[in-house]
Amino acid sequence: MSTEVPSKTGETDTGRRGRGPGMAGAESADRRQTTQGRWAYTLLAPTLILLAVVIIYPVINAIILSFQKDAGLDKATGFFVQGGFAGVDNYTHWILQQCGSEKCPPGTLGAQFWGAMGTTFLFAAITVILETVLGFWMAIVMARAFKGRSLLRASVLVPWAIPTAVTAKLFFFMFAFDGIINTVFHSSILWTGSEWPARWAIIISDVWKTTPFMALLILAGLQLIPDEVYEAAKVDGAGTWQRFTQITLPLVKPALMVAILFRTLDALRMYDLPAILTGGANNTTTLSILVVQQIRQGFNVASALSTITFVTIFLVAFIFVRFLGANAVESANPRKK
Amino acid sequence: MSTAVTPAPVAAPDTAFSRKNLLATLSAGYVPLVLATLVVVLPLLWMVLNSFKQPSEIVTTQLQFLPQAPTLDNYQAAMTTVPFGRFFANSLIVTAVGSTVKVVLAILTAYALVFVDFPFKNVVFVLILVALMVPAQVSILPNYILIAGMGGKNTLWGIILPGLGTAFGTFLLRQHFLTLPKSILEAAELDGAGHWRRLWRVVAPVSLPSIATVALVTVVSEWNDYIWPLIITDKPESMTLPVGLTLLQNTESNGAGWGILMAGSVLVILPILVVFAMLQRYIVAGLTQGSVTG
Repeated sequence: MSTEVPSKTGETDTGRRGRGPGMAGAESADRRQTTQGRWAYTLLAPTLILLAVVIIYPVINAIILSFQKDAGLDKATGFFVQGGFAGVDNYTHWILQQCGSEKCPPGTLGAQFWGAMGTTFLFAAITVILETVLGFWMAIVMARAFKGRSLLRASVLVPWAIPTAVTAKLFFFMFAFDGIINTVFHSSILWTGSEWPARWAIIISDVWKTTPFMALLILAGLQLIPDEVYEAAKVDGAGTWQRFTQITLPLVKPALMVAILFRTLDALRMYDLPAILTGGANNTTTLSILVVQQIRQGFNVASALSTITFVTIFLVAFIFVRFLGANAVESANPRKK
Repeated sequence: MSTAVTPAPVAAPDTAFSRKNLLATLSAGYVPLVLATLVVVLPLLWMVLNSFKQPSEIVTTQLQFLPQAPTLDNYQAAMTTVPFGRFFANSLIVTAVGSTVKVVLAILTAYALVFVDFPFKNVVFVLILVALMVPAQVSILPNYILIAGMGGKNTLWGIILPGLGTAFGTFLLRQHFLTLPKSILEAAELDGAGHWRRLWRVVAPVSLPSIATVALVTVVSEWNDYIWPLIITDKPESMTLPVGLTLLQNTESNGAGWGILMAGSVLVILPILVVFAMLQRYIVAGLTQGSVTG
């Protein structure tokens, strides 16, 4: 369906070009620029319209909502509060822990903000590091030639193809008090019952599930390195470790950084695993869980929180792109001439 | 092909069966193979085994690996308490439509971003990149108001539409397109091929491995999507499989519930495993092809 539209434009373009006024030479570059531009926007239009409807509009809407008061009973005074402009109250509610005029009492959602922020970053850091290291190792193994390689590739990718809801249920079952993990290791840990075991349960499940995805992305990067480079290095007498640090790492770095960037952004949004495994109990509440819980209590305050989440994630991505060389934008430049 | 992709320590010209070589192969090839397979397969095996057990066998003090009296009761219970067939059909439609649209859009956008010159190119790209960073939870609320207002609650298009706004495929494809030599396109341009022909005749065929990877990633993420379908549906008739599975847990918890839950999980992953087994050849072939052309 969408394939028809641009091709028509293409035909009219050539048609017009034939009839154009006979300014040879000089016109072509200028005209080329215009057709190029038209082409670009024809190709981009569906995506841009879609992004505008399902991303940009909601984001702007969320920001507007975040400056509105939630209508409802004011807990401090007991009066019904109408909505209306709230200024930055919804933001100070989270960041400065202000509930009305006093500090948020412990146990409320507002009081959990900084804890949830810490938990989110903790999960993101540990899972991304583990997944990158294990994924890299898996990718290198998978890139090799040996008997049974396809079997390995097929089997390691399976966990990633399984819905997170299933993974969460499965690990919930295995981490149960009388579950297989306690039985096999002769331990009696209440995995989902206290802070660190619950966190490790979530991290282990996430690593089990997502490492294959990392491996796939890194493998795609590894495949782009020509074998001649390795051959040449071997001839020059470079050892295995040297070849890894001098060739593999620098050459795979673009793909690797992109993979890490995506995983980090994803990990900062983690919802399903903790939501199903622990329900956010015992300090495993992530920002996303907090947002969804807050939605039930008040849209506008929730909007403020989701905006904070968005800005946080944006900052992390910015740092990645700017300082760690996850070269997302700049690599376009050499091609432009 | 066997030697093509080997960043391996094929050390001194030892004989194939020398001790060193055997050791290297074992430690770098087969040991990880066995290890990875075990880590992956054991939890799944546990799930399958338990789906055939009776409630009294699942919660025991003594570990029982194999079901003593295999039973299909759990499957029957799972199938009858929730409409699994319906979930499956819903998931199938959502995944097929959603990922087709996503992949086609990703190809178009990535092509435009790499091969067409136009003003504000980087601005557009950064915009798309930013869109990628929007957490689902930011857009969920306004999206919900929007979609529900358009009457999209408990409908399949209501599930599909907001999910289309991801930029991951665009990003990955753009990264790959940038590595293509410009010469192949210049040849096509000299032959008078327009952008449309250049895209589908030259760029797309060359990039098939990357497109296959993007397609696989998209299909899987679409199939697994949880939070949005959970919010936009509240009737079982329009739920997708992951959401339906949690419904199963809510109906019955503990004891007998475990067996039914595991049976449901097996039913959920069975279709993916079949699709995966079929597609796997393509993906593996696609990835290895990439190295040859690279």
